[in-house]
Order: sequence, then C-alpha cells, then structure tokens
Amino acid sequence: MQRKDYGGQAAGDVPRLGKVLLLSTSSERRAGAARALGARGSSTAYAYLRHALWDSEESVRASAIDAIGELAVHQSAGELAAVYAWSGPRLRRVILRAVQRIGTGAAFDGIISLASIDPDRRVRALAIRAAHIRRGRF
Amino acid sequence: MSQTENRKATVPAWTAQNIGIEVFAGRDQPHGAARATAFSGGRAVILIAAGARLPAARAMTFTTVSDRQRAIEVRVVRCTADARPSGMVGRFLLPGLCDGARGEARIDIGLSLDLGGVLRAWASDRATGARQEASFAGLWALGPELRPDACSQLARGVDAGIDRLPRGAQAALRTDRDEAEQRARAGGGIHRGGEPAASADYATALATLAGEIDARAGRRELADYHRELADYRREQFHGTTWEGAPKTGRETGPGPRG
Repeated sequence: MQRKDYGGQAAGDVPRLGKVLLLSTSSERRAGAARALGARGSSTAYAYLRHALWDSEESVRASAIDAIGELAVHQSAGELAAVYAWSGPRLRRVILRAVQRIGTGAAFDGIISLASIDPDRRVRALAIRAAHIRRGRF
Repeated sequence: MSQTENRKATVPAWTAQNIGIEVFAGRDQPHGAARATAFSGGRAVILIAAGARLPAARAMTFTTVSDRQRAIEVRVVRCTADARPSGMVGRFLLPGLCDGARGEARIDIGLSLDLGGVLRAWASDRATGARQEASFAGLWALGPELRPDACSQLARGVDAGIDRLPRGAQAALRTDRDEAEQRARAGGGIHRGGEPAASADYATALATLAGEIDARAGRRELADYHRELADYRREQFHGTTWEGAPKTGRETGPGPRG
C-alpha cells in the first residue's frame, strides 16, 4: 500500500490522531482525524478507528469505516458486521464499499450474506459486487 | 489513554479484571429487535476471572433464543465480581447461524488473554461452520496489565507472525511494526537490552498488529490457546516465574465446552 503524506506528518501521528478521534468534542475534527488515520496507511490505526465505529455521529462512523477500507484491515470483519446490523442503508453502503476494498477473507462472507438479502436495492447490488470481488471475478 | 502513556508497571502475569461476554440475538434483518439471550438482569458471563494467571483461555457453548435466529452479537465486557458489566471492550456479530428452532444451534464462544495483554474473542457455529473473531488491545490502559516485558513479548510474537504470512502481506505489516517501534523509541526511552520501553501506545500498536496477523493467517482454534497455555506452564516448571506473582492467585485454564 502506498502511504500518503498527510500534510508532512510524522510517524508519531497515529497515536496523536487517534486521541483526537476519541477525545475531540467536535464531530468534524473527529471525522477529519479518522480520514487522516486512513491516509496514514498504518494498520495500527485500527486500535483507534474501531472505537469510532460506535461514535454518536454518523459522519464520524462513515469516515472511520472508509479509513478501515483504505487500510484494508482484515480483523475488522466481525465489528463491521455488528455496525452493519445496527446501521441504516447509507452506512451499510459505506460498509460494503469498504469490504470491496479489503477484498479477500472468508470472514467478510457474513456481511456479504446479510447484504445480499437487504431490502435496499443499492445495498444488494454492492453485495453482489463484493461477492464477485471475493471470488476473484473482477 | 493519555494518563497511562509511557507508564511502566511492575505487575505479575495475572489479570486484575473480570472479563466476560454478553450475548444478544443479532440483528440480521433491518429493524429487527436485538434481544438478550437467557442471561437476563444485566448479567454477563465471566470467562476470565480476576486473578487468572496469563495466558488464560476459556470457551462456553451458547444457543439461540428464537426460531430461525440467524445471528448473534457478542459483546466483550469488563465485569464486576457479581458479573455486572462495567465497561465495553468490544463487540462483533456472528451471522450465518443454522436456520433452526430455538435452542437448536450450538455456538461456541471463547476468550483468551495472552501474556502481552491481547484479548481475543471468537464465536463459531458448530452446524454451519460460520465463525467470527476479534482481537482487542488496550486493557492495560484501564488496569495494571501492562507488564514491563509485555512489549518485548508482543514484538517477538508479531515478528514471528509476520514471518509466517504469505510474502505479499509481509511488507506492509513489517513497515507498520517498524514505525511503531520508531515511535516508541522516540517517545518512551530505551531498555537495557536496546528495546523500546513498555508504553501503552507501543503495546496497543503491537497488539493491533497481532490481531491483524491472526486475521490474515486464518483461524485459531481453542487448541492453539491450550498449546500456548501448556508452553507457558512448561516454562514455569523449568524455573522461569514472574516476579511478584500472587501465591494464592486463581488460575483460569481452558474451561469446559458445553
């Protein structure tokens, strides 16, 4: 994975950004920190991003899910499935896009099978695409 | 976490907290209700009791609470001595349960806590083979579990784990591991052996990498945790004991399955 230079920040920024993500009172700052953690390219950021999956603001949750997809965190499967089950169609689509980016791993079959029977047509379409990616057909 | 940053603790290899699980009927359909299983009254099931020697691993078997229930949600919690949840560690969903009557499914749910303080949870449906697992780091931020040698232990495990992965997956994780060590060296001082000092941030990074390695390497079975436990006991038998370990500490080994 190519690591992006996020404003010239150093390697030590993962814990610092993580603390902003978990402690800031501004949802915009929390969402920004989640995006920045995704852009840092270090899978160690998942220690902080996993907590943001349950943030009170949907925009922060969406940014955290995007970042997890960007980092291709395989260990996120169970937690993303739990978030999926509690989320509305918009966030479910964000989750499926993240699953598509992570790409492989039988652990994600659960989310894909849930999404394949989702009442939302767009969610089902993303599930089909994710299943194809999982089987290597794209 | 900031209060514990760069904190060095001198504690033995046992956990100070009760760690348990709450099991809920998962929402496998939109707008479906999430109902607790038979464990009512806000009680959890303690799988690793305070005072358990590390590493500890235990699994129990659960079942469904309604007909055609297709998912469960497992919440890993810290508990008080009377099994009341006192804080959420993490949660995950196990979808894909067998489509049967209430009480028919057999779902094994287990926890393990290793010497590095990494808490692993897994759930598996015996009938369908559906399985989900999650690793949690950071318990040491809330208790005295961060042993001085926890980071060295974790770093050795991460290095060995990366070596076992397919070559394509190794480079990125090795870079992450090196970055974490670089951060620790810059911020936390150096031990006599040339290793970075134990700190919550470093331990969290290493534990997260350990979880990622597990996820990429494939499933770990309860037998793997038993093997770790046996190795640890063998090490103790040969004279390596942890300084200050409580003489009366309870030992939680692998528990009964079912």
